[in-house]
Amino acid sequence: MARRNRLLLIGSVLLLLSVHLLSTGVRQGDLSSRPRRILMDVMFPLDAAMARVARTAEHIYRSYFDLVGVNEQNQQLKARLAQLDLLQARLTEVEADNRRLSELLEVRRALSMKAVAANVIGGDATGMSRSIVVDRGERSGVKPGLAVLSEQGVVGKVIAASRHSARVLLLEDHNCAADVLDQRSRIHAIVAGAVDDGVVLKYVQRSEDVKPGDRLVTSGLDGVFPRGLLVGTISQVRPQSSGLFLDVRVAPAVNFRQLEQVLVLTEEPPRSIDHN
Amino acid sequence: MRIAVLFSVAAFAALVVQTSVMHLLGVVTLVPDLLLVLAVNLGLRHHNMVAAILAFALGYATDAFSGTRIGLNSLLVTLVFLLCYETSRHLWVNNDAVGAAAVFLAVVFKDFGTLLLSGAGGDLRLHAGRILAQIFARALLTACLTPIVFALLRRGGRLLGLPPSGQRG
Repeated sequence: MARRNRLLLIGSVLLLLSVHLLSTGVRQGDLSSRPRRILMDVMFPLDAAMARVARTAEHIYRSYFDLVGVNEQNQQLKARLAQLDLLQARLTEVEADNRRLSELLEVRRALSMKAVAANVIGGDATGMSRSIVVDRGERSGVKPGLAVLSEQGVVGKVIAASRHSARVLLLEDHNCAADVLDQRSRIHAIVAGAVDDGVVLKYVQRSEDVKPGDRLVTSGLDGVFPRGLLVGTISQVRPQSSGLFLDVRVAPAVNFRQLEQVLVLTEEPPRSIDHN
Repeated sequence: MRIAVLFSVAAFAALVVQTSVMHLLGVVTLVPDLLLVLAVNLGLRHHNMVAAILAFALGYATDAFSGTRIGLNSLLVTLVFLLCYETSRHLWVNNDAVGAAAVFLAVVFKDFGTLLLSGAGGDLRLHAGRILAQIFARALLTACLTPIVFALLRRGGRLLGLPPSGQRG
């Protein structure tokens, strides 16, 4: 009985501690965020190693599987070919990386802001949230609240950083939002992730002028994303079954499933003034 | 302390699977909640204070790699631990099938809790069908993996000299 009471007591204390953490909100640098940073630092080499192993396995799979069933007489030649294939696969990959990095560099030049390129090395620990882990952290100037972009457009924002890695909340997460502007009608709205997957435009009144095909760009008013970055295109507009607003679906400019490299802006953008 | 070693190693392995392996496989929504399986195992089979603290730590670890709020998963996983503990005091649960059923219910409970506490109740009302399908699919997948995880924990426990799962402590 005493053991049960002790266990229930410690359980209650831990529940209260959780509620305290939840209600106060943990900021970077807080004592309660230190275990998270340590965990991220410990997990970084594991995630990075897994990513490397996966890339190597992919190379081997791509270049070596074609060689199954080789003639024994051509063994040496085939082995040489396999080496060349491996080299070619690696070069192709390097070329693809180079192309993506060049495009990211273009974005960085166009924005004229400080930024670092980062590799995606992990995903979210549960299916309830949409985030990725990147291999750049505080040592590269990455800190929570900074914008993350790809050559296609807005990816999301940094929500936690350790020394070597950072977690990025994707725009398709229901806790992530960006202030946007419809390029055609100049209407302001909020783009956010939907719980059931996808991205939606929130708080658009029924009377407002939005159409499928309209391009959405960041307004710069949220203090996270610089003005003028492509967020996506409106794919569907229909009135909500109840309420004042329209149900607007957005096709994001970024393919979140195929992200390999991203650009993290290491400085906050200047606050835009709304010219509308 | 051997239980802490066993579950720390298991937690790191589970985190690697959930964050890295699933990401590399291109799986986004159907990620099995292996850390929750560990918490359920603690609740059903290890009735001591270290187990309670470990359950909280498992929740914190989930918070570190998912979602935006530290404390959300800690709260829900600790609750799951306490519920499993109470259940195991009244029901015969030394069976992997019962463990899998408990994990199924735990995933559903935790996912709904996450949605409600993170203020996504409105979305839940609007897109109930799709969200429910995702949650139940995840719960089913996690429940299917439960016997494997429990077996690995038993084997790890034997290696470390922990008493068999029927004997709690």
